[in-house]
Amino acid sequence: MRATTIMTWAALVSLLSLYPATARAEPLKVRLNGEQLHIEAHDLRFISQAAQVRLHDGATVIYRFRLLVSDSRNGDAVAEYTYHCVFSFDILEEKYKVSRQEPGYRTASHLSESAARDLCLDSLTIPAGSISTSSAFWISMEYQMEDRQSNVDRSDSHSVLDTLVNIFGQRNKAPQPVDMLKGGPFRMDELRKSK
Amino acid sequence: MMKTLFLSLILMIPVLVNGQIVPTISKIEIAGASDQALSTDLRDAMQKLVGQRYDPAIVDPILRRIESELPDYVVATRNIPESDPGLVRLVFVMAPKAPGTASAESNVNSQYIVESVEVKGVTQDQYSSALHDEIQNMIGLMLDQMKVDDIRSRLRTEPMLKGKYTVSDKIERGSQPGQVKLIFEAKKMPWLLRVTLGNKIDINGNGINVGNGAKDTDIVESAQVKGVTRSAYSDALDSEIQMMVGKRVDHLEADHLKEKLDTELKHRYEVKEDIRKGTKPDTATVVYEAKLIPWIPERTLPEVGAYHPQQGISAFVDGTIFKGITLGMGTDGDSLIERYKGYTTGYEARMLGSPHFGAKVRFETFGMLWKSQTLDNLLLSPEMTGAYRSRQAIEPSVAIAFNRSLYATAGANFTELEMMLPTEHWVSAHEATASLVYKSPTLKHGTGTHELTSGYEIRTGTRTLDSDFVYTRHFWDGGYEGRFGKNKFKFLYQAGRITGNAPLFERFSLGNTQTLRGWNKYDIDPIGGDRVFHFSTEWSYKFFGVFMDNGSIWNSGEDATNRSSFGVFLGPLKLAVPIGCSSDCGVTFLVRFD
Repeated sequence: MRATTIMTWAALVSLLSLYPATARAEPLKVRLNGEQLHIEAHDLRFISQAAQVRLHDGATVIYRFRLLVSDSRNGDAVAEYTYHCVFSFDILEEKYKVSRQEPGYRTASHLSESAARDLCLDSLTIPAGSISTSSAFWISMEYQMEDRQSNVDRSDSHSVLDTLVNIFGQRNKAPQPVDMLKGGPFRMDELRKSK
Repeated sequence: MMKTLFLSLILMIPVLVNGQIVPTISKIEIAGASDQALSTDLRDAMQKLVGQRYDPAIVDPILRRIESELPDYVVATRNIPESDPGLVRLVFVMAPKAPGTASAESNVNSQYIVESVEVKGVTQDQYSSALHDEIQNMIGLMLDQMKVDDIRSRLRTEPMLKGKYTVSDKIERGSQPGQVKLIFEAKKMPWLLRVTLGNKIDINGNGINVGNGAKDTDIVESAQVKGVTRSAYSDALDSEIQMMVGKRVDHLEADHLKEKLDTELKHRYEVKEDIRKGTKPDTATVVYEAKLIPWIPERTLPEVGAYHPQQGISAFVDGTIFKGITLGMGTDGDSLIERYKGYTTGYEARMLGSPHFGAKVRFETFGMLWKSQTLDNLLLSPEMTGAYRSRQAIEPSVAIAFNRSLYATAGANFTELEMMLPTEHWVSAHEATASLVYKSPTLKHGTGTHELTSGYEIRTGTRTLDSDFVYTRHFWDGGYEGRFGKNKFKFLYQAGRITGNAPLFERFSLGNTQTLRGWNKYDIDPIGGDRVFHFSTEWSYKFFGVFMDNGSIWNSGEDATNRSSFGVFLGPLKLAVPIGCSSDCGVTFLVRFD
């Protein structure tokens, strides 16, 4: 095989391997609705393969979201909001249900997967009043699947090694990864104008 | 034509965006609470949703208003499709708040009836019939996610499955509409986990228990104190201990009672707390085992962990490994003129029927390494017995304790030395030994504590014991340690005198990591001395401290030269400076773990 052919294939493979990273790297957007900032990330397929398996087994899957507002791209958070979305999959109707746990309980059913995802993301809000109107700000969104089943089983573990047995004995042995999406700089006055 | 196409495209946008038709709200309903509980304004606002396309952005503000008017309720919406696919009824469902159950209630499958329940991977006789009945009782009822979680957890903790199986659950379509099959799947854990982690090795604050760990949810079936008579501790404490019976295991309370028992036994006993499985399932027993602390301390070789730039690294450990059997090993170039390496083993009984009596026997075998300074000086001292390649010894002794602070020992030491010169041969250094040791209890005075130690030892080599060496070695040592908050003062002394011709391992030396720090023993007296005096003063605050050493080592008939040194230390790290050192000596870095 000629060297140029090898190089072409190598470049293609490299590009393909980079695809998931670039797909995930799409920045987070925000929208102002009344006095609430809403998260917009329509292409974010955050429900993982492992979560899908659980959902199709009839279990509920909880995703935890942390919204962090900071004054600079990599600065410390000046405000933080945590939300939980509970997903379940109707195994007879093959439709999704999603509920937001806090601050108020919201739920909607008979949804497609994308609609359930979007509804969850749309319910993640940041009070506009908590953000300075003049200066720029960045928003990070951390999300992670919570291992509800393991937590329930671990709660009755007496010893450290009991817990280890539980952890290693789970179907998904690896800890659930925390993913992150970031966006900015945003300005409140610009968001108000665009509204 | 173009206009129609454009309008069609506009109407298609919601479909293209969400992948499904966005329905129009045909009717508003309220469930779970009376609509009269809501304000007129809010009811009007809700009715205005009729005819609009379903959009969370317009439904959310209504939800928020309902939540603010009915703060004790959780509010959710449910879209019920009408016969016309583009229409939905929007139902606001309200339910009193029940913390902690939200995720279970959120499972959309909870609306279905359980058609059958199956436990796969294990046979029915591997879990209790009570649990089996409970599982079967789920049939015909709505799927209860919390119940499913509970059953899964209980299956996992069944005695025959615990630590060996993992249990998961899933549901599948039933054979009838609106029904589901519930399946629990038990899977055997990997072999390595079953025999190690799964074998119920329980680590808690009180040690390691294999196979007998009790759970916090177990009920205490009995609580008892072993090792002391009932009159050794108070009635009040006894009733407190018995109060644990019938309640769940409370580790904090058990620890607290252990401390109380310790105090009532005046710290003369070592109290161990053992919480283990009871005789029946889900029960536990609490046992406090009190063991009298022997009056005679462990009599092992001094343990060393040290570094001296001219003398190298020393690491020697010695201790009881199992029921009185002692084992020691390592190398020590710090304590004596010789560097010895090897091992020692023995048996020691610290209480022979009574705390007053003890006995031990020790065997040791060591190989030697000598510094060139020592070997050169030995050539210049023909009256002294030379260096040896190895030494082996057996040392039986008895001990008698007069009280907790004072004890005496008597014994013998039969040492064989493999001499290097003029040819390899063995000589005997057999000696009788005796000692008297005093260690005061910790005396409290004001905010400070004080401790005094003092000891005297005599070792004498005699023809009576068939020894090639005839000598007598006297050694005195002792000290004072006072603690005042984080300040510590320490004064240590030692003095020794040898008469006769003693082997090298009995000769004294100064200038290591404990005495005359900063000096090198091979520069001061490379073959040791038969007279010694040393005094050390130390002050420390937490880990930091300063010290001053003063001492002399000499041979009988010679004049004693007094030497001093001072230094600072931070934990085991020391910087020492010899005072009046005329040769090439300066700051010495030392390490000594005490």
